[in-house]
Amino acid sequence: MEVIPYFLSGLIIGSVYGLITLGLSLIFGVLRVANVAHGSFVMIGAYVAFFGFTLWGAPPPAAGIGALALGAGLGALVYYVVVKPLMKAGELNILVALFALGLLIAEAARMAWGPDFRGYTWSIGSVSLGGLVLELSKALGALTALATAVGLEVFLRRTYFGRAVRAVVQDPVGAQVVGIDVERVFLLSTAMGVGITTMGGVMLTLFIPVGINPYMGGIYTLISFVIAVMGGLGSIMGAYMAGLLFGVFQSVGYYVFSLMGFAQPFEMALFLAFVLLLLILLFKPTGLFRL
Amino acid sequence: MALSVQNLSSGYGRLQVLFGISLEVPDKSVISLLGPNGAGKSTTLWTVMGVVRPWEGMVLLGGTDVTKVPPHKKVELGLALVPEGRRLFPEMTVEENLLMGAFTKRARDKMQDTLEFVYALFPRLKERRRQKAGTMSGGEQQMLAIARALMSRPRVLLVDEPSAGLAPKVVSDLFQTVKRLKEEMSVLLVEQNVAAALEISDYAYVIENGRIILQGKPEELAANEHVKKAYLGV
Ligand SMILES: Nc1ncnc2c1ncn2[C@@H]1O[C@H](COP(=O)(O)OP(=O)(O)O)[C@@H](O)[C@H]1O
Ligand SMILES: [Mg+2]
Repeated sequence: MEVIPYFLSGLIIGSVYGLITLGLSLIFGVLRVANVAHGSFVMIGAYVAFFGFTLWGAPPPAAGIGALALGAGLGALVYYVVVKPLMKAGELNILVALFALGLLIAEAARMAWGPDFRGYTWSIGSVSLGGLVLELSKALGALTALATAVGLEVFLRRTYFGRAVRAVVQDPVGAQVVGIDVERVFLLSTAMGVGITTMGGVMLTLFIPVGINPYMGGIYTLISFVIAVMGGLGSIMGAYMAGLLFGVFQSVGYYVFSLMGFAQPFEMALFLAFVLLLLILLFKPTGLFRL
Repeated sequence: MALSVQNLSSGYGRLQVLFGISLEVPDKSVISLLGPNGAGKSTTLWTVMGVVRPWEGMVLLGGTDVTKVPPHKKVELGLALVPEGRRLFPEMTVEENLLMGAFTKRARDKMQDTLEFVYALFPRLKERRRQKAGTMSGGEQQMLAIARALMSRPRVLLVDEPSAGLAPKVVSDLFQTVKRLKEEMSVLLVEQNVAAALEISDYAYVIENGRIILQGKPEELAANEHVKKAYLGV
């Protein structure tokens, strides 16, 4: 069973894909806004990890906490500067503004840090697991992702504020009439969503040894949208599970396509993942999971 | 006066819907606001609640000007709305919906007592407390919508067409329950079912095209020629 290591490594990277998607799904569920600038925050997180490690020797878990805080601040800023002023003007205006913001962030990053691909290596050993040599740094990234997803889900179900978030997702007007300050939920959800996304960017760097670059965000915007839709937009555990599924699909797909002698197995696997999305939408338009 | 609406105007975008609505809801009374579809009844309640922004006029709650107070703070101050379309949280259970109803600080402290009160009022909800709100019948959802609003411990309860889509028997039970609420609070009841609403009201207003065109005690309105012809079918 040579496929098992691919399956396992798919789960590991899939966990981080899930993490990267949580924020997108949360923001969409609460505000009905598709954050098309999403990938830019993944990119910012990746640079936080890179500079944290190379300048200050901060290990990625510490960078993750820093990125969470930084991202939350940026999310609050995005809410006040872009989303809230445009709420009345309609979804399309917000979408265009966020798209522009995404480009702006990438260009600013290029001016500040240059266009080169960067990377770093954080080695804390490895274990052998089912034929896979698993680096512990990656395992840690995957576990952080799992803990974040579970933590967010518990937060949404158990705390007063979390219940308010779920109420807004299910019926914003209903939420207003029971006394929930919906704007505050919007603000904090955007801050939380962007914070988690930026932290996801840190964990992602454990998987892309030399892939940190100002324009890296685009592909992760795309992948996260696919995963979020697969998981049922607005559903937290759905996003996480769909992330796992996507990772496995991509990794096993890579294995199968390289066996078949395709020149670009990675691109084929990605292509196949989009086919999977189409199939899911065709047969289950609300996504695989529900809130 | 529990609730006083003075010369209230509002609308959607540039479309004006309400043209100077005035009405009074005294303490411990049921007041109804009656009128045909599209008259502006729901808009009146949305505007009083502050979900729709008032253009002109005033809303006084227990004598305090709350015209510009946002909806979530109005709930804290004792105003509750059972909105058109019920607006329940469909993926939450009956009990979770009720607990959400007690979201404000003031209500949270008395949550257990209030829960017992609404379960006594609607035993059906107690039986169904673990069921998801979205899977219940129309009548049960309407009960839940009212119960959820009661969970906030309102002084004034605004109810938008509780009879919509319900069987006559269910409607009369529900209206008897609404009437009983008068011991604890004031109710402003919006209805198209004029006959049923007049039976439980202390006073009523008739709204057409965004204006109050008639008002009076139920027996006065029931005797009015226009009301008889347009609403009571006699
Ligand atoms: N969200 C809205 N946007 C635009 N117009 C609306 C909206 N809601 C209601 N209206 C219009 O306002 C008028 C009054 O509606 P409404 O207050 O719902 O009447 P009622 O509750 O008496 O049936 C109608 O002409 C309706 O078309
Ligand atoms: Mg109406």
